Amino acid sequence: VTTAPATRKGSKIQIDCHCLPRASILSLLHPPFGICRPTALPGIAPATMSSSATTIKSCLDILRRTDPRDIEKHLGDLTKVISNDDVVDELYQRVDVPLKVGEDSDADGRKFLLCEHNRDGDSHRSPWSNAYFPPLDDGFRPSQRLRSLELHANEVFDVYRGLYYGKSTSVSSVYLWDKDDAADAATNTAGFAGCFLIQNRVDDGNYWNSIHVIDAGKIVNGMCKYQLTTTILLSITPETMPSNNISGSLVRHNVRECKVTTSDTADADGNSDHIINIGKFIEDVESEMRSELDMLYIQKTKMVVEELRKDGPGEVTQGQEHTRVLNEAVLAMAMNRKCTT
Amino acid sequence: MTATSQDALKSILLASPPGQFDIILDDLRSLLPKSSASLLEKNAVATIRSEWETSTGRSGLANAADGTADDSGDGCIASLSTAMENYLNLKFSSKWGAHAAHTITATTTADGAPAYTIATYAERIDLHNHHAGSWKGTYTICPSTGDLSGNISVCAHTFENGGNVQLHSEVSPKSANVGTCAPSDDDEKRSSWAKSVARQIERWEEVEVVQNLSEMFESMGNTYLKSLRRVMPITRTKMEWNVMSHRMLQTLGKGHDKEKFKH
Repeated sequence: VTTAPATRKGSKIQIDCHCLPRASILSLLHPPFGICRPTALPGIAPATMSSSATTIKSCLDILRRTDPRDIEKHLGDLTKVISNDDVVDELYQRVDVPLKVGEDSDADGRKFLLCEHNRDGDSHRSPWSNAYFPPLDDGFRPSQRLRSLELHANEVFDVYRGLYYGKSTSVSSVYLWDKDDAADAATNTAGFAGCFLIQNRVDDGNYWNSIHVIDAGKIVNGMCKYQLTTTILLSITPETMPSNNISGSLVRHNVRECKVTTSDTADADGNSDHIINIGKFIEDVESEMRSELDMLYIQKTKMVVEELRKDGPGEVTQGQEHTRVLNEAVLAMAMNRKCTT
Repeated sequence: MTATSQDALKSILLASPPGQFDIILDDLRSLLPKSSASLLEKNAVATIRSEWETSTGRSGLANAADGTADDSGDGCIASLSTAMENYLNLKFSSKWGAHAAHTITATTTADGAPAYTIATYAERIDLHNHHAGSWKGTYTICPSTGDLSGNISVCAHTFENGGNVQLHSEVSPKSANVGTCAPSDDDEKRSSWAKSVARQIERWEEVEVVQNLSEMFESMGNTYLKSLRRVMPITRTKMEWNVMSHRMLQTLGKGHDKEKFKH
C-alpha cells in the first residue's frame, strides 16, 4: 500500500482533459475521495494556470516520460520534492499506479482491490462485506441507496471479469460514493460517482490494470450523462524472452448520454439501467483502448526500433525509405483520429 | 529540502528516456520552490547529466570527435575503429534519422590481459512525433585470446496522446571467439581481424536482439496481450449486463431448489 496521506474529505478537485475542447473544464466533484484524470490541456500558457496547476502539469509530464514500471517509485520521488501538501494529495488522486490486492476475511477470504477510492486512513473497505481492513469503525461508507447498487455492480462486474480476463488470475472491485449534497442524495435521480477496477496478473510479473472512474450525472428527462475516465496500466515480459519488457499506461476520457428508464437504484430484480449503461460503456472503452495499445502504441515502439537500426544488408533503398515514411504517416493519422473522436 | 529531496531529483533525472533529459529538468525546475532552486543549479545538473549520459551510453556521441584511444603504436585500435565506423554507417545510417557513434578504449581483462572496450551508441529522437529510441552496445575484445563478450541495451519510447509505452531490452550474448591479433601483425591481418569483430557484433545484434524482438512483436497481440485481456469473451459475444440473466445461469448451474418450489 502506498504511503499516501489520510483521507481528503470534502476536497475539491479540478479536472482537465486533453480530449475536450480547450475551454471546457469538467465540473468539480465533491466526493470524500477525489477523482481527477488526465493531463492538463496542452498549450495552456503557465501564466494562465495557478502555481498548483503548473506543478501538477509538470509532474504528470514527468510521469508520462519515465518508465511506466517505476511509476510508483517516481510518484514517491515527486512527492518528496513538492512542498505543498494539497498538491501532493491531488497528485496521489490523479496518478494511477498498479493496484494491490487485499483479502476480506469477513467474506471467506474473497479478494478485493486497494485504491485511493476505498481508502480511509490506512484501511481499505471491501466491497463484499463493506468492512474496513484493518478494522475502522467510522470509516466512510456509501449511503444505503448506493450500497445496494454497489453490490449489484460488483456482482455483474465479476462476471465481466471472468469473460475477458480469466477467473483464476484476475480480481475486480467496484466502489461507489455519493457526490451531491444530502438533499439531492435522498432522491432517486441524484448523481453519483464510482470506480470500476480490474487487475489481471499472469506468468509471474505480467500485469494488466484497468481503472475506470465514472461520474454519473443527475437523471434529467429520463437521460443521464456519464463521464468515464479510464486508465490502463500494463507490463509484459515474455517468459521465453525475459530480457525484453514492454510496459505502458494509457488514459482516455469519454462522455456518453444514456436513457435511464427505471429508478436509478436497482429494482426488486436487481436490475439497474445505471449498471447496464456503465457496464456497456466500460466494455466498449476498454476494448477500444486494448486495440489502440496493440495496433498503435506497441506497433509504434516496433517502428522506433526498426527505424533506429536497419535490418538486413546493404544501403537503404528508395523503396525502404518510402515504406518508412508511409508507416510513420499512417500511424500519425491513426493517432490524430483517436484524439479527435 | 533535505538530502532525500536531492536523491529524489537525481533519481527522476537519471530515469529520463532518450532525448528528454532537458524536458524533465525543466519540469522539475518548475515545481521546485524558490528556496530549493539551488538543488538544480548548474554544477549539480552537469554532474547528474554526465552520469545519465554514461549510464545510457550517450556519452559516446559527445566523445565521438576524439573517440579513439591513443593507438600506442599497435594499430589494433585504428583497425577496430575503421571497422566499427563502417558498420555503424551501414546499420545506423543518418538516412534513417539515427545518430550513431563509437568509442574504443584500452583496458584489461579480469586476469590482467590487455583488452579493448568498444562502446557504441545510436539514438533517434523525434519529439515532434512523440517517439524516441536508443541503442547501446558495450563489447570487450581481448586480442591475445580472441574472446569477445558484450551487452546490448535497446530502449524505445512512444508517448502520444495520453499514452506512455516503453520497450526495454537488455541482452548479454554468449561470448564468442573471433581470432587473435598480435602487435606484430601487418595492416592486412589487423584489418581482417577487426572486420571479424564487427561481423560478430552484427551477428549478435541481428540474432539476439532484432530477431528476438521481431518474434516478440509478432506474438504480442495473439499471445501475450491476449493472456492479459481477450479481444472478445470466449462466448464470442459481448457481455450481457442484465444481472438477472447471470443469476438464472448460476441457479441452473446449482440445480433446482426443491424447497422453494415445494407445493
